Amino acid sequence: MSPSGFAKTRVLVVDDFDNFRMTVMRMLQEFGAEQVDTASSGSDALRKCRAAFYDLVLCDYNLGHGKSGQQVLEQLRHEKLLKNSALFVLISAESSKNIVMAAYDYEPDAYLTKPITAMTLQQRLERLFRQRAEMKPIYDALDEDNINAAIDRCRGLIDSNSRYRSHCQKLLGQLLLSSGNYVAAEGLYRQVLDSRELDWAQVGLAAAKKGQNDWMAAQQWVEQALGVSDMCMPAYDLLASIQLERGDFAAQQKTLEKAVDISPLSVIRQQNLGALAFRNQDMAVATQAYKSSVKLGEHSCYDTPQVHLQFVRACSELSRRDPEQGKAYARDVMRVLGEFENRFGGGFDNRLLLHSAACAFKAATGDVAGAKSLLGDLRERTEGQTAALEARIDWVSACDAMGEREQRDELIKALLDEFKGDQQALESIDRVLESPVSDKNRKRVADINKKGIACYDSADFTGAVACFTQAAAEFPKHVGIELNLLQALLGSLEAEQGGAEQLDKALATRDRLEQRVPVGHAQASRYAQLKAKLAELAHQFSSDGQ
Amino acid sequence: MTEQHLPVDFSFVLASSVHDMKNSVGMLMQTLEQISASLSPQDPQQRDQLAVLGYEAARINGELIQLLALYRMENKRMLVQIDEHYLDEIINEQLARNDILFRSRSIDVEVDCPEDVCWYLDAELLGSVVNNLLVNAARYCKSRIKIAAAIVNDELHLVIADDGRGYPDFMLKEPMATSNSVSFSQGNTNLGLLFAGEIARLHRRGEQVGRIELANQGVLPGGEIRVILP
Repeated sequence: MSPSGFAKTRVLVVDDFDNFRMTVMRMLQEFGAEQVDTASSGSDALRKCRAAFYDLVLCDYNLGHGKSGQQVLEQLRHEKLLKNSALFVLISAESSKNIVMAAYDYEPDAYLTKPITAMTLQQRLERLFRQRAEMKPIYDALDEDNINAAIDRCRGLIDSNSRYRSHCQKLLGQLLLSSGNYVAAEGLYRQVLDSRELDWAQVGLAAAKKGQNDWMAAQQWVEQALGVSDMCMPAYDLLASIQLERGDFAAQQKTLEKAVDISPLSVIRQQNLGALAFRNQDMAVATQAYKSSVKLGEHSCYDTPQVHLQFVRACSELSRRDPEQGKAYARDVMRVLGEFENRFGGGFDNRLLLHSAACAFKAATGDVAGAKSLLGDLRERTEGQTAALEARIDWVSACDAMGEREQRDELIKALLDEFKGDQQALESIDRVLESPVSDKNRKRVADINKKGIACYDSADFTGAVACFTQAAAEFPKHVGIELNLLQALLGSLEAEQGGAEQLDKALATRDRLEQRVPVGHAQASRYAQLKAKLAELAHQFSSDGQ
Repeated sequence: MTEQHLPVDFSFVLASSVHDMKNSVGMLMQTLEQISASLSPQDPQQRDQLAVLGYEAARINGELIQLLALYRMENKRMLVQIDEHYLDEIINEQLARNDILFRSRSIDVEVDCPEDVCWYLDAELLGSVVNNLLVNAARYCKSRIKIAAAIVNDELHLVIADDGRGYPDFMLKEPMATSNSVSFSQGNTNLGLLFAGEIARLHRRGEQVGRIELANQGVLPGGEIRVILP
């Protein structure tokens, strides 16, 4: 390429080693670059990029303390500090594969592996410049937010059989998907797949099918992509989003768990898994995922105070159900609580949220005196003003753990009055209620119940048990579901569809219900009947066995 | 005391330390590169010595990359990203990487790869195969290496040939048999062939699977390896 290509290019070289920075800078100057800046850390690089647009950023992956090169890229794109035509090249001593696995939303334009020689650098950059030059009209359109022009120009290059046809196809696919042209996107991906089975095109086709609400086909294409390469991360993320749309949260969690197992370094994926497992009431998975999210979030632009608080809440829930497992996280919780204000600021709202989560944790781990005094303190300080919803939900959960029924009921009543009609708030409140009040969760309970009862009525007790078991896991405080589960289990025992395993399950369900259906409870007489039936069947079972 | 096994999987320990070694060698090579760049050109002897250092470091680096890749393949943690790539880019990148080696040994490298030859492959994996085969060829050739790429019968043929002594007979018969290809006395474990073969095999198209073929006295008087990807 002509040396002028380098002359006009504004370059930023980022590395924590002076020596390497200077070497690369000298190489670039030899190629004719006139405007080369350097930065010695991620934050330094971000500062420079906020002050000026660079055409090329050469950034080392390992920047010592602080942000990694990947995190610099994420923040640059997040803050839109890179133009569409700009190049971000990640340099590392490792092969790019490990880094690719960690990338979630953004991948660099190219990877360079150390050692870098003048010749390899020049050759690689010239190649990238040639590609950028040919595709410049497309990037210009994107910089102007003119998606239609960008789409037309992509098509133009593809039709003229450009050397960068494959680049253009990928970009075109993304543009068509993001602008809702699902049918056109499908056509493009099918055309690519006609010549070769490529995972990115299969995932793209699945996304196009999902856009057309054809869930079945979408799922099939994703699974096909995973069959070609079971390490294709975008396929897992798409599969999880399809399962979310279908309301199959259990399957969605399995998918994300698998993805996180293969690629544990993506902070967003860990956060998503934490939120999902928390929603599914699988606290063991939720705590682990939130713990990883907190750790990975340290230098990431995706970190939020919410993630730290959710970690503490998940630990509280886990401790209440299984004190031994909960204990293992006590030190992590203390550290997260201790660092919270330093990290996110100690304003009134932040402190309220922090201390409320801490209060629920104390209550859940048996520090009743500590929880009580903290709760009193918090309520006093917020007297006469409205405290944040999440904080008040934590108070309810603290009262629950301490057996403070009256205070709990009073808090819940106030919340339900105040947030009547606010569906999103009600969904949050659902987690501390016996039966949900939000439209969405009520519908979910109703749907599962309907399905389970239909199974039960047609004497498919195994199906009914499966249905209510899943529902009970999702709504662990719901007495009605648990009673239905018990009834389904009894049905299956009576019809001799289940053996000792079902009996054990029925006995465990009864044990869970025992404390939750006190005398005077609306469902007390139904529970008494089921309990009697269970005793009868258990007796029969043991005499049969002899 | 009874005999005790290590409480950890030895291959995992080995792989982690190979990973560390590779990073160290990378640093070493980068520093060497910087020293050569800052040296004055009128010091030919020192320059040759540096070239030897660079060559040996590159060899260690290549072997470590191979070891890691083979470990990952065995543990099914190998990410294979097949996509459309231009062969001239892959070849030129590896030639640039080994430019100092070829120049210091006065090796003439001939490239026969039209600009429009592109194929479906994992560029990073094939790149490291090409690098290893080039470094190997530089070791065995007299003065010439030829590298060529072309599409033959709807398959990619990538050929690297040299003008050295060629492959011994037993290797021509069974290029992938590790038992006979390990020859410590000659200072060559032929891990490179095993690696090339395994990487080729990761490239599939329906029932077809990638492979390597060895020959002598093909386009040049010495040995010739052909990597074929469907």
